[in-house]
Amino acid sequence: MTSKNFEPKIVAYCCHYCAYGAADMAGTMRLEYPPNIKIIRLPCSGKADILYILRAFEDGADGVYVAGCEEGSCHFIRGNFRAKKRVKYAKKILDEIGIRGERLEMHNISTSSGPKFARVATEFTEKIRQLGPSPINKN
Amino acid sequence: MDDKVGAVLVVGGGIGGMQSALDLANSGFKVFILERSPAIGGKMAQLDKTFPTNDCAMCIMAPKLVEVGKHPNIELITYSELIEITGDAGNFKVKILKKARYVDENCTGCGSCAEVCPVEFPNEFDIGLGKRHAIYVPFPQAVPLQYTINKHGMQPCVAECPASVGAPGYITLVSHGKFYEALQIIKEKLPFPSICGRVCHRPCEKKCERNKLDGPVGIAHIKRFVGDLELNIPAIEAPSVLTRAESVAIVGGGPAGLTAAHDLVLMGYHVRIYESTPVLGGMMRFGIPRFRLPKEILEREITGILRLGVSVQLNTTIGRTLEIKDLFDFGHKAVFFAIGAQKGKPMKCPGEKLEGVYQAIEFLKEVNLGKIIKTSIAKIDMDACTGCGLCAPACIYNAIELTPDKENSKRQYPLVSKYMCTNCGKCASACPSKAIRLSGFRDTYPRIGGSVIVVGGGNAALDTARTAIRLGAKNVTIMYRRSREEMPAEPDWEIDETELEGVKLLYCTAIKRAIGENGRLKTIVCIKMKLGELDKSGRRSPVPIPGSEHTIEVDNIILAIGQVVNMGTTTDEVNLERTPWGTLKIDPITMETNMKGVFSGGDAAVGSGTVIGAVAAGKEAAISIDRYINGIDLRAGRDIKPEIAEVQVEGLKKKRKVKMKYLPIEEREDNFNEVELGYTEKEAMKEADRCLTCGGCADCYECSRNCEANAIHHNMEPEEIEIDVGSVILSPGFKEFDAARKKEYGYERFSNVVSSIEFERILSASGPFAGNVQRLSDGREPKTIAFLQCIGSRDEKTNHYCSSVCCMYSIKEAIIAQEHSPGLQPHIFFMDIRAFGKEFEDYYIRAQDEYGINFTRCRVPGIEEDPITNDLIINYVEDGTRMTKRFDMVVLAVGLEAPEKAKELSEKAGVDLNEYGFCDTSQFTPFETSRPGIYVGGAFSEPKDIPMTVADASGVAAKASAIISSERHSLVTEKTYPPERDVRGEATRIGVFVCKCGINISSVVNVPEVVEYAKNLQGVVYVDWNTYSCSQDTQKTMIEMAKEHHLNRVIVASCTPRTHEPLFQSTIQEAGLNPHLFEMANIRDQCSWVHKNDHEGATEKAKTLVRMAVAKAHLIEPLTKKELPVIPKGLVIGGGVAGMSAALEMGDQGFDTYLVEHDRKLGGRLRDRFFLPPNQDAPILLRSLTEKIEEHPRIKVFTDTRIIDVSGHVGHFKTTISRGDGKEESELEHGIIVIATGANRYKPTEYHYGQHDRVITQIDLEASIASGTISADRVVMIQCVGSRDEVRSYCSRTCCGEAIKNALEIKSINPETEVIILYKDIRTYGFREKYYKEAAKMGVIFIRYDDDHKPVSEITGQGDLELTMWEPLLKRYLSVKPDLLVLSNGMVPQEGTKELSQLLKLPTTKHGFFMEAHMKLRPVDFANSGMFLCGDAHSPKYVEESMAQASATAGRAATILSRPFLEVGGSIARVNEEDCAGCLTCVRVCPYSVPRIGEEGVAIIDESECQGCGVCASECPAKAIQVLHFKDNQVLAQCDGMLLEVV
Repeated sequence: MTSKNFEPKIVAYCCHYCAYGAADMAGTMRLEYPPNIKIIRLPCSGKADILYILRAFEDGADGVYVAGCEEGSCHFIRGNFRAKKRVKYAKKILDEIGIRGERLEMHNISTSSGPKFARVATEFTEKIRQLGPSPINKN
Repeated sequence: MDDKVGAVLVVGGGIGGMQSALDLANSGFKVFILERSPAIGGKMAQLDKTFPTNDCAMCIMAPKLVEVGKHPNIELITYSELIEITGDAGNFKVKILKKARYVDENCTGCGSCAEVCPVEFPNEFDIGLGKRHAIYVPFPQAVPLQYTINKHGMQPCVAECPASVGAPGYITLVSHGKFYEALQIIKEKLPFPSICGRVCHRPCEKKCERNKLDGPVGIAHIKRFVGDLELNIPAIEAPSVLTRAESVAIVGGGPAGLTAAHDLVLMGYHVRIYESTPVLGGMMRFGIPRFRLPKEILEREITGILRLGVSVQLNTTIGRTLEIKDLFDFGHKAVFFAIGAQKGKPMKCPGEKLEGVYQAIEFLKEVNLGKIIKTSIAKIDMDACTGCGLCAPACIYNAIELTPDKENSKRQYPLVSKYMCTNCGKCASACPSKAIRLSGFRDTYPRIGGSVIVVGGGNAALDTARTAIRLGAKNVTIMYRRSREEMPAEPDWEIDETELEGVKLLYCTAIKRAIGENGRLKTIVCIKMKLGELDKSGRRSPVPIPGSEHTIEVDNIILAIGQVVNMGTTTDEVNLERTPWGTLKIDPITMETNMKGVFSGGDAAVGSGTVIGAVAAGKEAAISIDRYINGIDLRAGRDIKPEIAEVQVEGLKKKRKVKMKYLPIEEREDNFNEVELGYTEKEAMKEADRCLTCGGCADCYECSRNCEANAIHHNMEPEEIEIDVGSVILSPGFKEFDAARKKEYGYERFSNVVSSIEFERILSASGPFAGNVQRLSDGREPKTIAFLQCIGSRDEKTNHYCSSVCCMYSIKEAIIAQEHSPGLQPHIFFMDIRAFGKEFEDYYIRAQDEYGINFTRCRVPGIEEDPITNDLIINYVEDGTRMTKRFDMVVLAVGLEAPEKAKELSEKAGVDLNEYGFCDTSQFTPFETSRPGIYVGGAFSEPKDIPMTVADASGVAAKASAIISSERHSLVTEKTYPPERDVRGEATRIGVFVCKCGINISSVVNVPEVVEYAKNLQGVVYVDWNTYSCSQDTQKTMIEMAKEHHLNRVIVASCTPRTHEPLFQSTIQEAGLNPHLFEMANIRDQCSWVHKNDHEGATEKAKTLVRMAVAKAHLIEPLTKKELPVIPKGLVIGGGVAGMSAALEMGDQGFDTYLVEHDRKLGGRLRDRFFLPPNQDAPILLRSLTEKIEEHPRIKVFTDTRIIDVSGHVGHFKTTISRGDGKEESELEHGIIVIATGANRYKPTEYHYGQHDRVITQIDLEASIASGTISADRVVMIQCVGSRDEVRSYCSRTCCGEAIKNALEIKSINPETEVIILYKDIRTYGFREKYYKEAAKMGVIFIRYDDDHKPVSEITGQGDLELTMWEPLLKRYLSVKPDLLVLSNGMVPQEGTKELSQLLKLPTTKHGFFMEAHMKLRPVDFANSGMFLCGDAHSPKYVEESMAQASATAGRAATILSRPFLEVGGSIARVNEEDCAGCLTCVRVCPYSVPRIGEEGVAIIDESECQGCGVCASECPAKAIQVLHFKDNQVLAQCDGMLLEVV
């Protein structure tokens, strides 16, 4: 697959209360971002298990991000801090196994931040496009 | 009254109103929310972030919005106004006006309407910084998500148009290039767009609001442009509409008759026009020359009416040929008698009958009818004609008749009708043999002399003169007896054109007599006039000047001084009553004549009028006739004067009217070619763009055309409803101070000065600039911003009180702005920073230390603007030095005022307002208004922040429900569903419903393709698409299909589950399915809306989203809820003022309550008090509370009692208490716990307290004042002792008020006593500011100190007390010897707080006070379910605030205690005991401290307490915890479904 026609597959684990709301807001505001992003809704970003992140890569995702509430605004008090920690840890694993931690990110996006959601989605897609397909997809 | 009603009306749907409604509805009452705006949410919805947590306002509020919107027992009455409240507490009748929103409940909120709406307005939600359409929802998350059309009064142009033609509608469409839609709109009202576009006298333009600015919009020109479109394309095909059996006779084929015919035929009637002349058109044909109204235009529009199916009988004079009764005999059910006013008015001067004297109307008629110009028609050269017959079909007016050649039947020879031919030339172009030529006028002029005088000043005079010029008269003069100003001719330019064409105007001259020679006119004798007094018409009446007679030689006089009804054409058999002026007498509203079934209007009834007036008459007649035939009241609803809209034009950009091109003067000679040449498309659009659409919606109906749900009704009327409620809560909120009132700050003058609420929208990611901080003048990111505090607060000229919230919100805005725009330097100019709330002071400190925000203590006197850069220059004084600083932007921190229409509301509700215009309450009954049964919450009683408003909301809910507690559950409805089908063991049968959302989804996503795709997914047995999944009929289909196809999983591929999941879950429950057997695929918000330019990509993504949902659907399971019985009793810990109030409120609500106090007596710190600020008697309050408690049958008091142990959970706690010295232990069972353990006074160690007897605390001072033992000439008070210092950084909130209260007491005892208050900031927030002012007035000296200049006390050698303090104005230290040094010592957490917090697993703040669940929206709840918090245990506060919070805990407690059972379960964590190793990970990570390790050594997660976040599940090393509905296998299935494309 050349990078020219490479369309990254990206999974976004979004918390119900903020990031998913921000995605809806981006819709309401008719902001455009690439359709590469597909969202899996979780009650809280703190529910984003390392298992979920790794499974996405195993299934052939080229990039994954976890998006929760702004720090200090978590609907479940501090679930987003747990998520942050876990993402950090998962990045290390990804580095170790050669997938590269850069393919994973953590974002904090409040409900009304439709523009931020669209920006993150666009920038992340672009970043993964630059990084090229995940090594798992190269075969 | 015994018949109490178990319902409450909440007026105002802001955060306070919503919270009250939820608490009431959740504790068994029916709630109505009355909201003035189209959606609930109030001011909080507009905020970006909230202090001091920086939470996104919408994030924390949206779930509440949804909850209110979906609550089965909350009824939203939005876009409505209160009319009146009658009745008494417990049983009120409330009348409400539901304003017309023009969109009904079928609205799905899809927004297709707004997308096509061409009208844009400044968006109120963004304070005018952004735009919204005339059809709108206030903000994207609005509840209800139902659109509203903004119509604020009738458009002035429409109101002025006699026929009410909706100009803004078609003009707006034209401005957007939608010409044919525009034509359609005009034609619905007016059958003559091209005619009226040319000849109308344009009363609309006179009323155009643009007159205030730069002249009216060229309404007629635009109309003409639109009407003339039909010249190029055939008329819009009219439907065959003859649906009625009845027929109507129209007498007279002029504009009135034709219009009535048009309207009636469209109503379905058979219509026949009886016309006395051989042609239709009446005065439009006879009276208006062709250079103003070309004949083909007239023919085309008349033909358009006839095409609708109107039949015509020409040459028939009613009264001569037929009688009126004949018409009824013919079967006509009604007659419209519109014969016009066709006879010229005589001048009544000698010589009028001479030859050469014409009546203008007859002259014009002859010219127009072609009697004079006989050959102005197509002429066929029969020699050249080949008889091909092509000319006849080419003629658009059917003026050519073909006669077959007798010899050769293939040849047909044309005959041109002289009346119908317009000389247009279409036939000539079609003629292959060039046998048709168009004849001119040159050799066919009528005999008009060289010198013509036209008498009159109206349009007819101008038309006549201009016609005469064209007919060859060399010397044409209009003679008018008044001056040009009085000329009735309109429009103005017509006079100019007339003059340009060579007509002379002779003013102030009248004919005295005409003198003839041989019977023919020769000379006239004229007399000059002067203008005298105003006459009845409002014009100055002409008075002859004696001796000014003179003679003029003329060939012709043409009299154009008006017309009268020519009843000469009728006979006396027409027994229609007449007026003294000879017109027909009619009822001006119903148009009825004295004969039954005969109506009249137009010139026949009003004398010579205008075309549009006749059209209006025709329309009214049509309505009357329709009503008459149908037996409906003719008058009903017809004489209502609508409210006329107005527009503020200040600040609007001027746009010059687009000039229409005229035929050059030299090309007008000797012909009747049209003078006005019309607009081009571009010109029409440009001119249309000037319309201000004054009344809001332009009535262009684009929205209705695009609404697939048929939810829009432009004719919707307001509706009055009446509801019965037991009590009323007023929580209408507040209004921001209008910064423009403080002119010195340049708001609205300087573009970079914004108000704080505007800045809030600028900061908001969903705001006009998507959260980019920018200047309004140039869009540049500001580097420096000044925040000016107290705009409209603490101000002699506007509001005296403090608005309480501005300091904090400015700090917040400064912080957030800096976060948005790193490097930004905010600078806050303030008088006192009033950071008095919980954690506020820390926030203030952070703003200075972490964010480096500048604070300057100075009230800025005004702002100047640099006109070139639009920078703002502020001169201020800092530490006595004059400074000048330049800022990129200025934010005015506007205060809070009583809400919009507070006075009106108070009158309607019958409650009193206070001196500030807010709702009047008393100190210790903060929720009670002057009218029993009506309560007040939130900022309507005093400016306050969100936490206080929310606490108030719960408190007032408790109050409002106490009086109707006997009616709890009487009016609420529980939705019942059929029994759930057990789907275990069934093969998966999935139904997928794909939504088109009108065109929101289907215009981007290929819905049929998605449907086809879904059909092939495993387990899917049913797929279909629908227009709106959320509409009633689709819900029905869903239930039917679920049953028919035996579905056991349902997927809706539509919008977002955040708003719509509950709806669909309820739908499948009706089909007998567990609500959790449901999944959604968000193919709108996350697909069609965000990939609108990538249809293919969006369609593929939609398929993937559906596939993911199907993948998960296979694994989802029904989830059941368990019912836990509730012990309907409360436990209040702490018997101070908060605890006592909480117990009383709960008891009043009908719940048994235990009140536990560790002291021997109730009262807490209130027992040490004598006066509460401002000067309320504390012992009286204490006594009243204690007595009430003792007498209350539901309250059981345990004094001298301690809490030993607490177990159980929400709904059923078990508390062990120990009385006395621990010998007597007992167990209490209860459903909830209220913590009201209070706080303590800080015991000072500073300022020689305890070392010198002259150093006392405020409480000591209060005691000595009360006992009358105070004796001091000089009292010095030091504020913030033990508060706002290194150890305790928080503010104790009440000390400023206490100090001022004591200072005032001292001054009232002896005004000579010197009182000095040393302070950091005086924090007399809200209405307490009054006492600060009063103290200053009484001579209390306020001296500021800061941490670098703290006062120092000293005991001198003689044992005297000396205090050295810094005087900031003098910039030096002063020493005084106070007789009393009074320390305002702050508050510290209660002893035992830590132990209690450990026992109950309750969190505390870093300062050691209890920590509520959420600072903003759950201010009296603990995160631990079933536990609540009030009073000083939460944070220091005034007694009345503690009491309000105590009520709030009762309101919150009632939501649990009122229920027999609590439902627990659903999507929560569940432990698989076999896998659990008891490793404590879950215990450690749970944000709510729910998991514990049970006796079995495995984790136990209480279902009633788990919040379902899933943090434990993700961290559990053994994967022994799963969150139901988000189980690992379910989430992973989605992941696999997405990426591996497996289902």
